[in-house]
Amino acid sequence: MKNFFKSCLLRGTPSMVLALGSGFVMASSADIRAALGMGAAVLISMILTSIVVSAIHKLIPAYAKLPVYLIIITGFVSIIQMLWQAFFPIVVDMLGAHLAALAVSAVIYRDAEEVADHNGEWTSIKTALTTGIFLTVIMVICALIRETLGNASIWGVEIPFLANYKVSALAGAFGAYVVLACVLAAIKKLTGAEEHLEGEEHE
Amino acid sequence: MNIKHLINTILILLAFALVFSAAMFGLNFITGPIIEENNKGAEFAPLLAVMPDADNFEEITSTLAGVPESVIAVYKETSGRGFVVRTSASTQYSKEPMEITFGVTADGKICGIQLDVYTDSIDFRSKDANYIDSYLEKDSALADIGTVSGATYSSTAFKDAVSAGFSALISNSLIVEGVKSDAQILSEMIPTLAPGMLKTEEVAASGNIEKAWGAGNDAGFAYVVKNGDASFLALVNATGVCKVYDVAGADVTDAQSAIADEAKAHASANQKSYTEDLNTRVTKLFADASDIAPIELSTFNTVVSAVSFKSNGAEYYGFYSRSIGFHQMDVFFVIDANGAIAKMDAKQFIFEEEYFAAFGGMNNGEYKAGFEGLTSETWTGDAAVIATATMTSNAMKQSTEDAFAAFNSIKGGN
Amino acid sequence: MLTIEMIFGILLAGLLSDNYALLHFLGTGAVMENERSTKQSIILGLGTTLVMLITNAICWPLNTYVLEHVPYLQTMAFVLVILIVVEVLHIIAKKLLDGYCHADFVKFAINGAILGLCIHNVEHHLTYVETLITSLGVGLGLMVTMCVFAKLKDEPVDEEAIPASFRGLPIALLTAGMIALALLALNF
Repeated sequence: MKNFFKSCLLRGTPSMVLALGSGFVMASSADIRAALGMGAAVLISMILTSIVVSAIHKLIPAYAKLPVYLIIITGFVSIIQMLWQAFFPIVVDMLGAHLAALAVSAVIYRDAEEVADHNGEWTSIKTALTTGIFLTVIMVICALIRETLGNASIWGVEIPFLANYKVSALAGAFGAYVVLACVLAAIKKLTGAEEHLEGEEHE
Repeated sequence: MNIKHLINTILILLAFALVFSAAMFGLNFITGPIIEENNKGAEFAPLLAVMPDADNFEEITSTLAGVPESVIAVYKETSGRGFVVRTSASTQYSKEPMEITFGVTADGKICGIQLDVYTDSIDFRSKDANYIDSYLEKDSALADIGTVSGATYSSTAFKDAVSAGFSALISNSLIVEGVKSDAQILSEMIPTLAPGMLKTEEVAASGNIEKAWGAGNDAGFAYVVKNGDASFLALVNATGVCKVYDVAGADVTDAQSAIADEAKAHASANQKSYTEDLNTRVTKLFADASDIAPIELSTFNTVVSAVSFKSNGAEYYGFYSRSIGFHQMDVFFVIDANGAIAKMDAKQFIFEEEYFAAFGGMNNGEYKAGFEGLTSETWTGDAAVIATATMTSNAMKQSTEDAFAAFNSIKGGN
Repeated sequence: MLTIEMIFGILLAGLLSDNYALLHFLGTGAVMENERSTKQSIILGLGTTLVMLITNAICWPLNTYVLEHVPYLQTMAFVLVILIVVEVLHIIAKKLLDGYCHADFVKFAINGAILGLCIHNVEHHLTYVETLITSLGVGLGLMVTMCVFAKLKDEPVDEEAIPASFRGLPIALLTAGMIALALLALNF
């Protein structure tokens, strides 16, 4: 299982996945609810796209793959958007255009193109699952830090004793970059897998 | 990729888009109503804050006639509890207009009020924390609601915005107009009858005087005075001239001389005199000025003192006007017997805080010279304009016009 | 009425204080992952600006007259427009683009910034002309940001000076954060 997890990460090394997905990761890391909502959206749309793409990839001519995969992703993202709007409106309010922009995110597309296009359903679903969970975890960690310290709240509930010590810079765009960079560096340090992963990235 | 491939691609894309659109069309039957409900909740949240027991709202703005421009929207509570009005107001201190939401019950009383947007540099809430709450339970007459001392413009704008909201409801017969007391009607006449009294604030009253206000620019006093059952408005300008008006706005000074005397007595005890300052300035501007004599003015504008004097054999009139621009302005005019400005002077034109650019780039001598020779006929207002200092320019315009008006009142003999 | 100052204001906002890639996290991935030379970045950036202009020119009337009635199809319709515009542009400008940056124009041009901009423009109820000017400003802003990052990659950096864990993406993110902080100051 450990090997599998690692191999999935290797397909999109953390830094590669995060570079491509840095946009929505940072955009949704200001609040835990937004992070979880975005994480679930990424996870579900990735899995569904993987299933559909691995089922139909032989029918699509090579020249049309990119736009067709993107329209499939868009379809699922739009459906998720509708569901979120109905059942988690606060998440949609916080994410704004970023939820829709997920439709053209390179992370999901890359997953569809490189994994589902060449592999069976199971491998692609597993990859989608690990990548999605990985991104969600990163978002939630960043959100925990940014919401607690930047906005003195958790899950939208104010933490009274921190209210006077808000680091409002963390809640803004600058905080998103700094926190993500630090979290990423910490993960690298802890896993110690940096050289190894970077090395195998260009397979 | 060639054209054929492109067309193929587009066809495949459209096919997929169609499939997904069909799915979403189906899904919309489930999510559509929920989303609409959610949006309604978000839209009505500020309305519920001022009318917590409301069931549902319906916007009726477009069905109303004669809605003042400052009213943003009017909502009707569907079970008949009343109305919620959203209005806006702005002052010269506003970065953005302030936005106010207030609820009015079916019998025309304010049941909740809050300030949604407020960017004025002076915050009347910090000067009087209870000001907004003082509107609760009031009807459209807004009786006993004054202004906040030190934030007169902002609190006046707030009050006007609420009044505008009420007028939208009243003019469409949605609620009954509140009845104003005589004292309130009289006090609301002050800005029209004595336009020179700026930043008025209430002062201590005594005797038959029910209420007294003093002008922040010392341009005079206003009183509501009781005589038997009737109330009258007495205005005293800075030169001590008094006029008395009844509730209908008619001039009854001659009939009510006792009131005039009482008002004059109160005013003369409290009025700051600017005659000395004007005399000093006149002798500074005209070294040989002689026979300087103060004049009583029948105008109620920003001119706080007037004198006549002689220089080099010719007759001149000096006026001291106190209008308010960015700060208090102290402007002096000397007008010759033919009505043309001979000299214009001021303590200070531009205040450093207002616009530094104007402060540095302005040529005082040139600006003052621009006024010379102008008469009330040739005056267009252009001479008063100071680039990038709008508030001061407007104050200068007002002062000049007031000086001309004071001059004409002397010459016209009324 | 649109004055010259307003037009410049909108353009400058797109370039600086409202920079999509740095402050709105739209198209950030595409910029971060940019391995191209400065010259290629300029061509790609101009291409993206053109895509933004054309898609917004189409999406505005589409949204105003059609999507008002079916708001849930908005994302789908906008993506469809973007995809077709990019494909068509790619065919027209194939020669030019292939000479500079191979075939990845299509991949690059479809990024969050374009879709985000379309949504932003219709959500803020901008007029048609304002929409086009905003598109131009945001597109140029994206181009400038790309060039800045491309240029940064060219500069010799003393890797040893950066703690091992921070090499690569983290330091790039921190750099972007610094630029974002500087741009943020322009919002006041």
